[in-house]
Amino acid sequence: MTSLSAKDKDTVKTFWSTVSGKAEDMGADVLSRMLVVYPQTKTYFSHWKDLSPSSAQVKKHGKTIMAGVGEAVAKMDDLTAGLLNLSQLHAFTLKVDPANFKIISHNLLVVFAITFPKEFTAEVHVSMDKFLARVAYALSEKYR
Amino acid sequence: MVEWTEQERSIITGIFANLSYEEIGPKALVRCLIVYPWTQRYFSSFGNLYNAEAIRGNPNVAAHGIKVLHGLDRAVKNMDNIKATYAELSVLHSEKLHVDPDNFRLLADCLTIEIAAKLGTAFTADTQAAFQKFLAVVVSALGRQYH
Repeated sequence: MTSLSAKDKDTVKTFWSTVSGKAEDMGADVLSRMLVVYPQTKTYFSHWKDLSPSSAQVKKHGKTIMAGVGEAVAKMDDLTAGLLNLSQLHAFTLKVDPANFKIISHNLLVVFAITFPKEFTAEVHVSMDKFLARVAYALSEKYR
Repeated sequence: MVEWTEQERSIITGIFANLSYEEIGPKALVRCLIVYPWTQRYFSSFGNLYNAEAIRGNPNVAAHGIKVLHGLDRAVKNMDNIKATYAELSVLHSEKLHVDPDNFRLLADCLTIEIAAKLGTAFTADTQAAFQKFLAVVVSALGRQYH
């Protein structure tokens, strides 16, 4: 797993500061997109009544997820320590199959491209892709 | 056999009918070569790929991007038989070009990102689902004849 270079970290921080203003809307888009494009992910939300993009639960949870990404950006220099609680949550409580981290990462990248087509250059894409892979890795730490 | 709904067919033909091959083809391949640099292994004859600027300015990359994107036309015209349509291309990529089939998925992801950037909010979840399903079928067909 490639580690983040100083340039990657810089690129991620800069891009995040550009996009974080729209984090809430993007979060809802990421989540609702994932539920449609990867229907198997709906299995984790069988307790929700409404899985449509306009659902209050989807919007709220999208916001929560983006806050998590923001937290990861802030704790970029030690993701394993920084995301310990979140890893425990995903491992012991939510029991999300880690394969899904790749799925949500992909949808994050798609929404970045849609919302910020000029800023989401190939260079930003590669750094964000690496960063999200590191986040997924940190989230998987406590699984077994 | 892959089943396509009328909506999916219409989404796919719609995307390709309004596509600028000269714009999106190069962008998708450039993105792939930058985001997944190991894919450069197949293009050693293309000249300068040393950095992002070089890749972006490389005319061989641009020409090849357009070629690859037009390669998808056959699948769009034969959505009910993509596997057979690409049998020959699959053999080519396996026997002659020796391309690891995982790369098809990587390029497909980059193409998705470029289409998303181009269409913006018009790239709805349903559009994304149809487009990704189409690309997944193409990717599978291209890997089918490997042995």
